[in-house]
Amino acid sequence: MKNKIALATAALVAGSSFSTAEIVINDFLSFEGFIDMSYSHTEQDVDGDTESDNSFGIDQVEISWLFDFDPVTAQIDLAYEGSDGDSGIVEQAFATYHFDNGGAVTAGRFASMLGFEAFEPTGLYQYSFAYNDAEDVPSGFAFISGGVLPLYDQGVKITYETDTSFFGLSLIDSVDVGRLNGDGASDFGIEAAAAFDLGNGVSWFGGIRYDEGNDNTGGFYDDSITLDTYITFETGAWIFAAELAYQEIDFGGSVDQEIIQGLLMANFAYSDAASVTGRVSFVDGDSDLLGEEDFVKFTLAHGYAFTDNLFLVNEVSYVDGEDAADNDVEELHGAVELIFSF
Amino acid sequence: MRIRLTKAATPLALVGLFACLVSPLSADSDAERIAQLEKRLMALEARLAEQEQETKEVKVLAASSAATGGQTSPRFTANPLALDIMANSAWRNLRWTQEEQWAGIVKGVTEERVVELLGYPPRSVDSLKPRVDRVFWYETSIRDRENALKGKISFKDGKVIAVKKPNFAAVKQALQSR
Repeated sequence: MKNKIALATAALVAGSSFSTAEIVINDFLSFEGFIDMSYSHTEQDVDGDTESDNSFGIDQVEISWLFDFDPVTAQIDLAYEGSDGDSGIVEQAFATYHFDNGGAVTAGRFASMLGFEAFEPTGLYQYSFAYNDAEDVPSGFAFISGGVLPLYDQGVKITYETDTSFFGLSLIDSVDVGRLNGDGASDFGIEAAAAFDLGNGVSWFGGIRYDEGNDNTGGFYDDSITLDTYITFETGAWIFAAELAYQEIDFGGSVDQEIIQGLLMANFAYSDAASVTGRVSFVDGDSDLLGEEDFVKFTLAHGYAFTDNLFLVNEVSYVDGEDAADNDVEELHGAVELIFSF
Repeated sequence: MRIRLTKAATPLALVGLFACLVSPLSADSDAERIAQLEKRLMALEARLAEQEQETKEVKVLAASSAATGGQTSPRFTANPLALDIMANSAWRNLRWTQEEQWAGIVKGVTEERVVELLGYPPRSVDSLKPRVDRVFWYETSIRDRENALKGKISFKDGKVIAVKKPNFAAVKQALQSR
C-alpha cells in the first residue's frame, strides 16, 4: 500500500483528473471504493493514570460514483464511518469541467490539496495517521491531536497540470463555519498549492491556506494561516518522504495559537507483495488560551498484499509527549487492518 | 381444310418467327441479369465482410459465451445506422478481444498506448501491491475462470511492468469444436 506521492497526490485530490481505478458500468458511469476493517489495542498513561481499550469493527466503507460526460466529470463519494458516529456521509461531491490545455474548474465539496498523507486508508503506508495520537481512547492532548491540516471543503477550485507540474487555487468555506458566506460577517478560505516533479524520483509540494474566521457571529477565531510543504524521493524499492506544516490562529487581540508539525517516513518494498514502513512524526503547539503541548510518534508498520485488491496492515506505534497541564503522556498502540478495494 | 391448315400454321409460324427473333435478345438479357446478380452478390459479399469485420469482437465474445455454456441469441432489428453505431462502439470497447491488438503490449509501453491499442479497461484498480501502481483487467467474464477471456496489465510509473494476455487459443478451440 502506498501513498500517491507528490504530483499524483496533488492531481488526485484536485479532483481535476479522471478516476484512476474503477469498475466501468457504461461509457458514462463507473464505481470504485473500499471496505476498511481493523482490530486495534491502545495503552495510555497520562502521568500515572492508565487506560486501555480494544476495538474491532468496520472503520470505513466508501463507494464512489464516477460520472464522465466529457468534458464534464463528476464524483460522489458516499461513505460510512462506523467509528465516527455510525453515520453515512457524503464525503465528496463535485463536478469538474476539463479544458483541453490541462486546466479544470471544480465546484462542490472536495478534499483539501494540503497534506502528504492520503485521506483514505487505501492510500496510506500504515494504519494510523502521523498527527493523531490515540485510536481507541480519548486523546491525551487538548488541542494538538490530529494536527493542523484540513480535510474537506466546499467551494470552487481551479487547477492546471502538466506531466511535471501541478497548480491549484480554491475559494472555499472556512473550517470555522460550514458554508461559504458572503454577508457582513464573512467567513471564507483561500487555498493555493503547487507541485513539481524535479526529476530522478524527487517531487516537491508546497501549499498555503488562509481562513477568514467568523468570530463576530459566534465563530471560534478571527483568522488563521496554514503552510504545508513536503518532498518525496522514490528510488528502486524505497520511498522517502519529509513534511513540515505550520499553522497560526488569531483568536482576536493578542491571543494567538501556533502549531508546527512534521514527519519523516521511509517505506521499503522487500517483495512484490510486502513492504515495511518506518515513520517519525511530531506535533508541537503553543496556545495563549490552552498552554503548550507536544508529542513525538514512532510508527513501524508492515503491509502484505494478498492480491491487488486485498491488503493486510500490521502496525505498532508509540507516542511520547506532554499535555497542556504538564502531564507526561505515553501511548502504545497496535493494530491489524484489512482493506478490500475495488 | 387448307384454310384450317393455314389458320393453324399461322400461329405456329408466328411463334417460330418470334422465337427466332427473341432468342438472341433473351440470351443478352440473361447475361445482363447474371451480370447484375453477380454485381449485387459482390456488393452483398463486401457488405457482409464489412459487417463480419466490425462484429468480430462480438463473435469472439459469443464463442466465449458458448464455451461457458451460456446461451445468447441476440436479434438486431434496428436500422443500419444504429447497427453501425453499435459496431463502432463494440470496436471501441472490445478491440482487446482481438489477439493481434495485444501484439504491441510489452513491458515499457505507456498506459496511454495500452488504452489506444486495447481500449479502456472494463475494470481497473489502484493496486495495493507495493511495486505496482495500477492494474487493468480486460475480461469477458469474471465468473467463469476456465473459459472466459481474461487479460491483466500491471503498471508502475505509467508504464507496463507485467502482462498476462488472454488465452485466445482456448477460444479458437472452442470455436472449432462448435
